Amino acid sequence: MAMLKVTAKGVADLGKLMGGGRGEAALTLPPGSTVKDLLAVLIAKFGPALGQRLFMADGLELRKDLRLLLNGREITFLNGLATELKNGDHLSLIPPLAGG
Amino acid sequence: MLKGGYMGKILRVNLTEQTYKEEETAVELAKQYIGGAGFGVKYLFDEVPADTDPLGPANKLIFAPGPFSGTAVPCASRIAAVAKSPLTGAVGMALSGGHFPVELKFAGYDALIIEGKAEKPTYVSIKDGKVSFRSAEHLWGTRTSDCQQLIKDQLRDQNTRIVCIGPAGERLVKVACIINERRALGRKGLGAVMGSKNLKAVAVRGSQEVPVYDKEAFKKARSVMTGAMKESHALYPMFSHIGTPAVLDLTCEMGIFSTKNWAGTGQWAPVDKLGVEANNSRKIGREHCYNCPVGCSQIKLAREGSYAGILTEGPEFESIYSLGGTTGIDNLDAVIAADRLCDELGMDTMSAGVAIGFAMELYEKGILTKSDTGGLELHFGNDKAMQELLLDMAYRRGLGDILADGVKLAAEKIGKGSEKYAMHIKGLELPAYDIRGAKAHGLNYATSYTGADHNRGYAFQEIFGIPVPEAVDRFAYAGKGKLTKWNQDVRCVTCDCATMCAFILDMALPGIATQNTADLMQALTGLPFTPEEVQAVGERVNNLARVFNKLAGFSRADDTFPERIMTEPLKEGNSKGQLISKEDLNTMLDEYYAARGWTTEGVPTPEKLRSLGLEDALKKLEP
Repeated sequence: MAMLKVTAKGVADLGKLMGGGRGEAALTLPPGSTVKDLLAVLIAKFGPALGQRLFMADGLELRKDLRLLLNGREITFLNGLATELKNGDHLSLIPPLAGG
Repeated sequence: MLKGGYMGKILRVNLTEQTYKEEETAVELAKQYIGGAGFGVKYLFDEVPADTDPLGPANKLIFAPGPFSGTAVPCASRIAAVAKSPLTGAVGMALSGGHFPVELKFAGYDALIIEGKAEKPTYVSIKDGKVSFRSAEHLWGTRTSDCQQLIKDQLRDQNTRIVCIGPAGERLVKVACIINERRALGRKGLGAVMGSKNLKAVAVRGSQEVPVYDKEAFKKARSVMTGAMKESHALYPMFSHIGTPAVLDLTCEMGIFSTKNWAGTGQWAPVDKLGVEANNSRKIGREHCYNCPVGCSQIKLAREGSYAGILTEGPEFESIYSLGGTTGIDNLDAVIAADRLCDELGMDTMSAGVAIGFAMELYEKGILTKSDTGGLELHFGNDKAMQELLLDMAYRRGLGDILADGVKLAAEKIGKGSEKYAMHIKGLELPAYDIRGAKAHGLNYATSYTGADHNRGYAFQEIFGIPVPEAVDRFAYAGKGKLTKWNQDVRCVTCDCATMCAFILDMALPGIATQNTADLMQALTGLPFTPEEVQAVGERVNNLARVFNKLAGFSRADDTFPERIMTEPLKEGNSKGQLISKEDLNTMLDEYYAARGWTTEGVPTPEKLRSLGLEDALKKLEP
């Protein structure tokens, strides 16, 4: 099966942890990869500081002050970290932002 | 007699007679409506018939801070202004922070009711119970910062706090606002109401303290609130340092930052030029409202080109949307200049910007031509044309004269199918969030008692992902009626009535807001409140306003969206494919009316009104 081409973008401080600039990354993953796999690739690419920002100390549970949207939808309403990715998917990593 | 939180008096000023009198703040009024918007809507309902000409002398303008204002409750310097709106014909209510709200309390008043019409331009000075009517003929025509300075000089008191109008309000521009320092009671055209009364300004100075009923209990309740603020992941450090522009970065990523009169989306990608980083490059300082530890307001200086050197407080996210996004202008210095210009002219940045975006789309489509625009090339992105048109609106010149009354009336005058591009609900121009990708947020726009008003029932669950009272899928429809009722009632009472900055509700108190308000109210005033009773106040105000609007001629048919929202799916970005069809809107409305205990036509039932103690409203509804 063909590899998956997906994108990810960090907003605000998460963008800075993903290389700064627009905070975007284009990635290629094996078929069957999940949101969790995508996060692992991002952490491998951008370093452990991103991992500490995304996960609790146990490295398993996502931090509370973090939103993950797959194609604009909260992953809570999909299959969470186990949500399988499709070709062309886009993951948004969003810190607590409000106001306006 | 009230024992704390309130000053115990309401000031009634009659401009026609040039008289004033003080009335006691009734305990029952405090218990049923708390203050702020609650007081304003109650006085409007009782004293202004729904068919009143909004720009006639029979309309009244009520200013009301809340019981929390001027106390040690943080972020509570907020004041509501209420009148029948000349822009919408519905209840007009706008709020502002700053220092004016607490000054009115320090001067001894829980509300200020302005009646009648002065024969000549006038301003009212209030100082610790002394009221004087002063000529404003020398001030008529001044911009708002000059007006405020001249009054301070004349009163020989640089600490006087002032609300005033600019040239737009004087000319009865229906998108005119009331300016308070560099802040605005922005929406629904309340500046035109002041102008219609020949009232240029109200200046207030006071030296009294707001009494506290139970100091120990108050201290304890307050510490719960400040503790929640300190623990907030959103408030500190991020929001206090970057303010509301962060929401531009967020909504662009979510694909719901409206651009080019809602024909585009966040994927037009103005983030680099209008978002957080760009705003930080122009930031030179911060401002705090009275007793606010957050200080979200950013002072910015335009740096380049013909705008260099222009300073403004803001622009806030909504103004970046209206003066930048919807006009297709990605030059932040131009937006800073336009924001300042609107403040000086006394014009709502949001409605004014949306009106210009509307005109730009008409020009792009050939509905307006150069002969209509006075030679302006009104393409999206033309920042120079925007500056010209803002001036023309405030001074009612040419096309500006038409746009000055908002997009609904402008479309009626222009015709040629332009209504399709007029982005308003009940005559109020749409705020920033593209509601096609946030359904409860949209339902609030459709049903808010003030028209398309994000702040009357902000769906923070959808926009910010806050799971209170529960997590929701922003693209889903089910449950959004019930959720919208909750959002409107809780926000109304905790923010608009008590009063408190809505950012604190969103970022620190979402799960404990009604408990927090109940505990503070009980300690501050001695009046017993449960969280349920607090929420019922919000429900009461929303029902009373709904009855006013019904009597003013509004119906279910007005709880709707511009055609574009219902027929044009978002074309790109992370909300691609989303719209809210008429059928889906109707499904949400049915659920919302049922949750509210209203008829299928959206009218509060006798049972609902009686349960809220609104027998007087029922009598007017069913005479």
